[in-house]
Amino acid sequence: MAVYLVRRLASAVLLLWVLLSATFLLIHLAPGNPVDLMLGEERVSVEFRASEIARLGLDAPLGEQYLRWLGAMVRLDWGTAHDGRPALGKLLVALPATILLAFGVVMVRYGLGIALGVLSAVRQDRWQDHAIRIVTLVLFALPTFFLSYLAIEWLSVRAGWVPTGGMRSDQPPATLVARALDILRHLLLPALVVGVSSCGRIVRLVRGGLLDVLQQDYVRFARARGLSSRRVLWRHALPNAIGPVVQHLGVSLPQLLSGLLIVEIIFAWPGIGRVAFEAVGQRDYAVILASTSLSGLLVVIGSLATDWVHAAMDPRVRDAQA
Amino acid sequence: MPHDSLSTPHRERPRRGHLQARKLGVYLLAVLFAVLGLAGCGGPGADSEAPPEQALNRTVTIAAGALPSSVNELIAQTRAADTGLIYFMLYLPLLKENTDFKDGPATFGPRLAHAWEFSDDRRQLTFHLREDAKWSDGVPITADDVRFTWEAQRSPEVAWSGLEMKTPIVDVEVIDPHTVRFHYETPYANQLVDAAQGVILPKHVWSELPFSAWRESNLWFQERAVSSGPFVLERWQEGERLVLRRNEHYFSEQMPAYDTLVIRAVPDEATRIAQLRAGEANFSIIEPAGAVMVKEIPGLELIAYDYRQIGFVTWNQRRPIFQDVRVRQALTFGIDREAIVETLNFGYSRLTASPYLIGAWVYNENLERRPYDPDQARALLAEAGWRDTDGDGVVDKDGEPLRFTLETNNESKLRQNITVMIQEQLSRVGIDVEVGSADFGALIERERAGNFDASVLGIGIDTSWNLDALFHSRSIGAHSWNLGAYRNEEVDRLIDEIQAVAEPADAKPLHDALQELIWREQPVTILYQNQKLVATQGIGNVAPSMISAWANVAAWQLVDD
Repeated sequence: MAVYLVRRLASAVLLLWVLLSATFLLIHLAPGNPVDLMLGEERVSVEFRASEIARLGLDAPLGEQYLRWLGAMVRLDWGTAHDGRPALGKLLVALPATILLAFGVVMVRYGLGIALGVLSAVRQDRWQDHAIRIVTLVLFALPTFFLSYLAIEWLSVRAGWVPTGGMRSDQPPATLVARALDILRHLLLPALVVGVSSCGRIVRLVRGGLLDVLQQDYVRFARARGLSSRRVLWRHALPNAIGPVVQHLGVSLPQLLSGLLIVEIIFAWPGIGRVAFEAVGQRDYAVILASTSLSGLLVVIGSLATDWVHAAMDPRVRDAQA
Repeated sequence: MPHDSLSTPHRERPRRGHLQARKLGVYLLAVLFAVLGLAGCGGPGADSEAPPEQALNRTVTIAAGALPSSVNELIAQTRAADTGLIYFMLYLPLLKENTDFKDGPATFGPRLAHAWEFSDDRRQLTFHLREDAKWSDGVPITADDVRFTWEAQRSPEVAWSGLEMKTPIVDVEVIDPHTVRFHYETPYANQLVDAAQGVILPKHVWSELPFSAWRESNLWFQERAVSSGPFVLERWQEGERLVLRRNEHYFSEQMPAYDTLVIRAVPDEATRIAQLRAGEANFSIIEPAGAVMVKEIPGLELIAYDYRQIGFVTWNQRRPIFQDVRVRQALTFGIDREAIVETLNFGYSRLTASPYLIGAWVYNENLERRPYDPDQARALLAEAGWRDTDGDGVVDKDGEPLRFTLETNNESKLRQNITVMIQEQLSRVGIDVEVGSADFGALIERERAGNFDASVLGIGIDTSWNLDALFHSRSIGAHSWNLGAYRNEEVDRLIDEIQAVAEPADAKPLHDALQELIWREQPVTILYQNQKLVATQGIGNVAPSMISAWANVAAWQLVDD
C-alpha cells in the first residue's frame, strides 16, 4: 500500500511539473509582453516602460526566468500579481466561491440525475424513459452559455425570481441566516444551468446500474419475501447500483472546480475561473501560473484520493498495483 | 467478515448503504454551511462592518466590465475604471481641466485650489487652497498634503507612470497651511498642466507607509482610503463590487443626490444588459454591437459620446510603393470609410480627416474629407504609373504588382474586420491586399523596427495638441508612434513652431496649416474618431466626457418612477 502511494505521488509530482513548465513556456513564448498590454495605446516614456519590464523580471533570459520561477515554486512562493498582491492569495480569496458553485452544481446534477435515472429504469422503454433520454441529451448538447442566457432571460429578467448574477446582494442582510439564504438565491441559477445540462450522464449511469441490479437474485428474493417494490428499489437496489455514480463524482469534482469558467463569467460569479480569465487578458504571468498550479493540484489530489479510496475498498485493485 | 457477508447478504448491505447515504446527506449539509460561511466572509475587508439597514433608499448601481485596480492613483493600472474611481469619486486634484477646448485652449477651474498665480519670471507658481476642504475623516486638507503628493509622485520607488510630468517641478514649498508654491527650473508652456496633473493624497494617513512598500500594498490603501471627493469607499469586495457612500465632508455645493454608489463587476456584456433590464443596475458601458439591441429595449437609454481616440491606417514609407504621395491619396480615395463606420461601428463613430478632436478649437473646419471615389483612385494610380498591363485585375508597375499586407492587433475584432473590408474595397481599384494580425505588443515592436507594410491601429489624442509623436521625423523608430517613418521638413517645422508659441491660442493658423499639409500628404489615412456608448436605466443627467464615462457621476439623478 505504502509503495503504491509513493509511486502514485511521484508520478503526480512529475505530472504537475510537466503541466506547469508547459504553461510557463506557452505564455512566455507568445509574442508581446504584459507591460505593453497594460499600457495599451497610451503614450508613456521609454524609461517607464523599461522599468516596468525590469520590475516584473521580464528583462532576464527565458531560461533564467524559468529557473527563478521553478525555484520559487519549490519554496512554495507562487509569485506576485500585477497589482502587487500575492498571486496565490488572489486565488484563495476566490476559491470559496468556486467551491460553493461546484457544490451547488453537484447537488443539482446528482440529485436530478439519480431521480431521473430511477424513473427511467422503472419505466424502462416506456414514454417517460424516452422523454428523459431525449431531453437530457438535448440539454447536454446545448452550449452552456446558451442555456445560461435562456435561464437569465426567463427566470430572472422576465419572471424576476432570482438575480441575474453575482454571489450576494449589494447590501448584505443583517442576520447570518438571511445572508446564507441570499447567497443560495444567487447560487440557484448558475447551479441549475450547469447541473441540469450535465445530469444526462448520471441518468445513464443510474439507469444502467439499476437495470442490472434489478435482475439480480437477491432483488427477486426480496420481492418474493413480500417487500413492497418501493422498498426494494430505494433500500436494496439503488444503493447497490450507485457505485459508479460515486466514482464519477470523485473524478469530476476537481474538474468541476477548474471548469466553471464560462458560467462564472456569464453569471458574474466571483470565483477562480474569473480571476484566471482576467489574468490571461492582462498577461499576469504569476496569476496564470498560480491558477494552473492550483487547478492541476486539485485534479491530481482528487484523482489520488479517488484511487486511494478505490484501492482501500477493493482488494483486487490494491493487490494488483502494490 | 466473510461469515457476515455470507449470512445475510441482501439485508445487511443495503441497510448499511442506506445508513451511509443518510450520513452522507448530513455530511453534505455540513459542508454546504461551512462553504456558505466561508464564501460569506469573502475576502479581507468584506462585510466587516455591515451597515444597519437605514437610509439606503437611494442607490445608484454601475455594472462594470472590470473593477478598478486600486484607490491609489500612483500604483493603479491605467484602466478606465481607475480614472473614473480616483478622479471622479474619491479624490480631487488642485485644478481641473475644463472641457471648453471647443472655443479655445482649455482653461482650468478650481478644485482644491481656489486661486493660483505665476511669479513674474514664471518660475514660481503659487496655489491658494480652499480653507473649508476636509478629508473624509474630518482632517483639513493642507499644503502639507500637496507637498507629500509631489514627493510620492517623484519617488523612483513608487515608480508612477506619470513621473516625467513632475520632473520639471524642482520643489514644492509649503508657505502656510493653505498656500503652496511650485518651483520650476525654467518656464515652459505646460507648467500649469503638469502641476495640476494627479490627485492630492492624504498625508496624515498614507505617509505611515514608506514609499518602498507602496507597490506591494494595494490592500493597505483600500483599507485606508480616506478621500476628498464626493464619495467615500465603504467596502471593496474583490472580484464582486465596490460600495461607496456619499462623503459628508465633501465641501462642494454639488453633493450627490443619492447616498450609495455601487460599482459591480459584471464581465459579460449580455449579463450587464440583462441587469439593466431587470432593474438591478442603472449604468453600463456597452459595445456598438450591443447598442443595436439596447435601442430596442423600452426603459433603457443609449448615450453615444465622442472619445479621444482616432482609428487610422499607417502606410509604411520605408516601402517604395508608399513613398509616392499620389499612391497614398489613391488609397484614401479607395477606402470607403463611411461603409466601415456604418457597418462595422454600427454608425457609432464620426468620420474625420483631421488627427485633432472634432470640434476642438484647433480643428480645421475647412478640411474637406476625401469622399470614397474608386475612379479617382484608379486615375491617381495610373498617374503614378500603376496600370493593369497583364489583365490580371491587379495594377502593376515595372512588372511588379501593387501588393501589400495590412495588419492589425488581434485583440480587436473590430479592427480585424476593418482590414478585411479594406482588402475587399481596394481590390476594386486593382490593389492586392493581404490581411494579417498579431498581438498588440508584438505588432508595435515590429512596426517600430520597420518590418510591416501597412496597419490599422488607434491612438489616444489629448488636449496638448502636439502631433510630435505621430508625424515628426524625430519620432521615427525606437519608442514613438511615427510608425510609418513619415518624414517632411515642413511638417517638422510646423510642429516645432506650434510648441514654441508662448500663447497657445496664437498657434491656430499654424495648426490649420499643419492639418492641411497632412491632409494633402496622407502619411496615414484617418478613418474615424471613436465614439463610446453607455446604456442607462432609471437615472438622468448622465454626461460622459472624453476622460471618463463616469465623469459627472456625482451629478447623476435617480429618476423616480
